[in-house]
Amino acid sequence: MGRGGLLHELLALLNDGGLRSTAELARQLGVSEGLVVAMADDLTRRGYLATLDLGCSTACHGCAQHSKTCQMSLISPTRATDQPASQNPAARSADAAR
Amino acid sequence: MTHCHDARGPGAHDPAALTVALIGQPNVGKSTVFNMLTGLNQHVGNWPGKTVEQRTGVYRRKGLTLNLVDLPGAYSLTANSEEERIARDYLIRSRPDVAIIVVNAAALERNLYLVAELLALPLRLVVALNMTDVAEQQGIQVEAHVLAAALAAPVVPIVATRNQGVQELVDQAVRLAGGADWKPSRPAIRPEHEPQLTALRELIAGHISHPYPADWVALKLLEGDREIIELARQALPADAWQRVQALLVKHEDAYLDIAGGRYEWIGRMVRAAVARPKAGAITFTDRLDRVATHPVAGLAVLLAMFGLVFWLTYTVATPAAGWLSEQALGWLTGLAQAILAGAPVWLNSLAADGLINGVGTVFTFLPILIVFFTMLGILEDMGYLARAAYVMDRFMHLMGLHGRSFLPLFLGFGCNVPAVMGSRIIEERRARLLTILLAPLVPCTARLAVIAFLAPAFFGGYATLVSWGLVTVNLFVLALAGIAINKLAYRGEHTAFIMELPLYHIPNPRTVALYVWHNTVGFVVKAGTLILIASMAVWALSTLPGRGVEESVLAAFGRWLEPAGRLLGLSDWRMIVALLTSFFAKENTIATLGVLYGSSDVTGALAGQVAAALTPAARLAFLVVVMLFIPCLATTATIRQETRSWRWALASIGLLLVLSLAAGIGVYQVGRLIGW
Repeated sequence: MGRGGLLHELLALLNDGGLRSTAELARQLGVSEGLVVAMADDLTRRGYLATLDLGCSTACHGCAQHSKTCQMSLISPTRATDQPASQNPAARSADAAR
Repeated sequence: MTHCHDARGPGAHDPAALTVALIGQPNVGKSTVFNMLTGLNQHVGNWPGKTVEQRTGVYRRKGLTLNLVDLPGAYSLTANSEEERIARDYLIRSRPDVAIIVVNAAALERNLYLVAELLALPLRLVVALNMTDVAEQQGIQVEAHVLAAALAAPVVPIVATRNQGVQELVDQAVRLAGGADWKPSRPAIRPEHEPQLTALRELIAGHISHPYPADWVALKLLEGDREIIELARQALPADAWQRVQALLVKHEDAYLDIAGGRYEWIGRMVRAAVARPKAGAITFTDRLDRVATHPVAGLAVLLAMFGLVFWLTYTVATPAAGWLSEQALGWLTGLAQAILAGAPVWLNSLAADGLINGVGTVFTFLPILIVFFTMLGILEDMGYLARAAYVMDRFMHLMGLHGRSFLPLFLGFGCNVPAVMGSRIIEERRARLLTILLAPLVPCTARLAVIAFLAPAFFGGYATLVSWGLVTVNLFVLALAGIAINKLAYRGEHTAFIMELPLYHIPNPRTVALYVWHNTVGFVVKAGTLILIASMAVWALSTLPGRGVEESVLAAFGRWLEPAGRLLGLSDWRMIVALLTSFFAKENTIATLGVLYGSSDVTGALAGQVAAALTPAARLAFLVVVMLFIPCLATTATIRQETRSWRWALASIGLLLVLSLAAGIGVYQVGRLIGW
């Protein structure tokens, strides 16, 4: 395992860009797909990743297209791991508490 | 330490009884366990000073009494939400005799994170492994005794909804609360953070008061927990606080390390206790995906799927469409003539030429559309369409199209309107506007239906190959345009997306049927409204001033555009007018041709008549223009709405007009040169 463990490894894999499946990430990290999903959810709750909903929401009401693909949900990084300290929750907490 | 509750009534706590806290992530069945144990002996209120519901209750059995507290659902103990704060504060301040954590056996990796956090507290813990029936259905077998040995904590498999294992769970909780050995296996912090943790422990020693455990506070400080940081700031002297702060700023990403360490621990627990799933859906999906999501093979599979859809359309739907055109429309025309025998000539003409030949011809699309939607419905329900998006994104990513642009565009394959709407995920305005401009380039089902209607008459046995080729070239044009967007708007920046691909499964006939039904009804409604009105308008303009089609207002307008049409090989003004009316709805191309050619008799007569008027090069050019032509009215209106600007809507029309004409002219002129 490289620097910083699984979460760092996951964020590093996402730095290359592109669409990655949880199965592919699981293979590359050597863990189960369930663990990748759990880590992605955790990073989303922490603000490192964000969920994007591709659905058309109310505009598609009545649209015959309405389908599961139309409602695709994806997770995407909100910041790179090498962002300035001020963007990190721990440092922000420390700054806010001064 | 017990929790005292002085409420009267069925949920009244017995101060002498053991206090058991129920904790777990949302939707794991914790409340089901609580209800099973307490029945009517429960009290519902609010946590003091909070709006979150508090549920307490009493469990009694043969001289045993337990005071139960159902804590709010919490993913972790990091106080990201009111619920997590309440759960954490209760566990630390009230110190129940034992806690039962309910975990979902079918999602163990996610649930064990809370277990890892709870083990860091001085708290006795029993793990209730719930939903073992759901896990088994998914082919997941959790060996409870192995997990118990790995955790060095009791693990009891239960199915709360069936009241299975709940009594054993109570027994284990009572045994643990009564003083049984408690030496659980806790996740260890990474060695490189031990010095920081030790330093923090020393700095806070003596300042952080009971009941907060110092070790736990030090860990939470390193994780960046806002509440604990505030607690430390208030409790520590100024110099100690400054040193704590400096340490936290220096190790700002420690959360990732600490949480990462917990996930590694979880990985080890799962590898030990979760038996390999039975050969079934999961391994089948894995095997299929080795091909379906491969960067090269996957793309080949995708293109083969397009080919299969077109082949099925031409094999099954085209003969049916031909029968509808020949028999149904012919019968309708005869019926209309009989009913309107004594009616004015214009009314007869409106009925026969405007309605039956116009919108009626569009209804002969139905078999084509039903085959399209059935194939799409099957591919989506079986889980393949998500792979298609995945594979296309990898290809587009290689070409340089940014994922945030490509993914909304993928929605355009059904209808371009969702593609425009989906661009809302793009935060950067310039990139968003450029993506919206590209959305009409995606071949929607309406365009594909027009191609499917004309291609057999235009190219006979080569229809499948030509249609497939048109879609493939369209995708390349999209990719090339996307490269431009990436360079102009994203400046080469990349971003990543994580997508969970569903397991493959046999498509559900009802789901597919509903999908086909909804889409077909949508088409019929469109045909009965927009296309009907457009057909009547075309009929009116092609009738006035009453000297026949060739001398009508529409013919004069069409001839005025003929010079442009000749560059495409479209010497007949009716073809040009048909293209222009596709602005209202793509299917209007066919409705307009039906009105203007006035044909409703023998098999495939309309398409055949149109084919006879064009050389092969011109036929191909016409289809190319149909594929790339200006966006329809609905898409244009959506572009206007999303960009809040008519300028961008008109720019989209202008761009596609130039692109489609350039491509059409290019195809025709090259075709002419090679003697087509």
